[in-house]
Amino acid sequence: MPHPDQKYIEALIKNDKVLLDELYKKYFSKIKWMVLKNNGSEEDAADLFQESLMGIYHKAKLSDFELTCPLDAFLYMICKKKWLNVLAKRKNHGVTNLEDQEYNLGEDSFRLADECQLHDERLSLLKSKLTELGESCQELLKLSWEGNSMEEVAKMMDFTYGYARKKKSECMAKLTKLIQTSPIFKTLKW
Amino acid sequence: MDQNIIDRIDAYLNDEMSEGERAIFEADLENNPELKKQYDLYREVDNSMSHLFSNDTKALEETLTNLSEKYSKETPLNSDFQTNDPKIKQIDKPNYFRLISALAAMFIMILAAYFLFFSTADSQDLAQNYFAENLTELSQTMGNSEELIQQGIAAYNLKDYNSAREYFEEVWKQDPENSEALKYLGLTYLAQKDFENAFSFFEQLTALPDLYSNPGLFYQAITLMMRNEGADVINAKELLKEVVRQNAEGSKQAKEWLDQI
Repeated sequence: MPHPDQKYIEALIKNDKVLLDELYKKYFSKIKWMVLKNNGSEEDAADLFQESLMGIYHKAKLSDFELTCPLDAFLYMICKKKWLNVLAKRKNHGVTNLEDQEYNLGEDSFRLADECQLHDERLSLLKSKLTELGESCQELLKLSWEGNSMEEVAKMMDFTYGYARKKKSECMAKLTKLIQTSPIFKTLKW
Repeated sequence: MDQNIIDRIDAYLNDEMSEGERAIFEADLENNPELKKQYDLYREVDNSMSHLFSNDTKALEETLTNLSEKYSKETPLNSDFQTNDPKIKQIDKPNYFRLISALAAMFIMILAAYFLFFSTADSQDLAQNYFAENLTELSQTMGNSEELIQQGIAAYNLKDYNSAREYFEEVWKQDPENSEALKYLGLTYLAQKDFENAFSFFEQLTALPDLYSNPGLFYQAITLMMRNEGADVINAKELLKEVVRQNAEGSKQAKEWLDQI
């Protein structure tokens, strides 16, 4: 049985502005407090909260997402993990208030949080490898992923349809090769 | 990925194959695990990126950006979160059985939450301590080890990691499958906290066939535990299980850690 807060997950999927406003009103201040008490700024808190929500959205859209605990607790756990990673990258060791919340969460919630992170890491790798392709490859793939048909992509790039198809295939081959040869590829369980 | 394979996957997904070609491709998908792996990756990349660049994703990002702006300015800070925990219910009547049961349940839950919350931090400590105790000083190898390796070890023990890396790299360039060069290069990168390169060298070490004693998998796990980002601990656990299953070098330590993390 999903938790009643599953409605907020649906709100992310449907871009329901009213419910998302309610979500921010209810939960943002706690995350902001955690970040500010731990060497972060208001801007950091806003970025962290938004990235965490986007991570949940990606996981929900690309596979599934059943919330079995209050969103409050789940968001705190996700944001805390992300913030610890940010601090580790900044080599900032002045963490003082990250363990103040005690939540009794089931194993499935921890698993869900880890899966969210795994999705995030996969998408980050894809985005970073895309930037290693040549400009025309990047443009062609983006146009195609934005939902344009290959006929439209060919027209926009002033290619013949046959050439655009061939080029897309070549670009995908390069991209998948870059992904597979990345040292972290195996840890992402593809 | 092989261009021919991609061309076939592309043609299949775009419905540009004849019926005969389709049937052959589908049979190949069932019988050829490598093709299946590439096909799955292609679809995953294509689906994920289509999702990432979709109008839905862009629209949600815009909504959240607006809300972030609105609430980072408006929300008053609440510093009472620690004391106002809404989940703790007050027991109205003195019912001692309920009270004791509740206390016992609370104690168990706090203990469970403690272990779950802190397991990742603990695993990082375990790996860092292991590294500090066992891998910051390497013993000079006996026998016919190359001189460059010996020089590299000497530099490593003096914590002159840049020089150590140069010696080990020299050996590795001459022989990319030299197990000692791979191991020591991985350790040098690990000492410098360059986890990606460390992991990559240990991965190459693990892949070496016919090595009498191969610590590659165990060192891969240590690298992930020390980095401790994202799903690192979960993946490290899987690697440790594999070390134990194969009874590979480090299996005793792996078993102990699996009981603890």
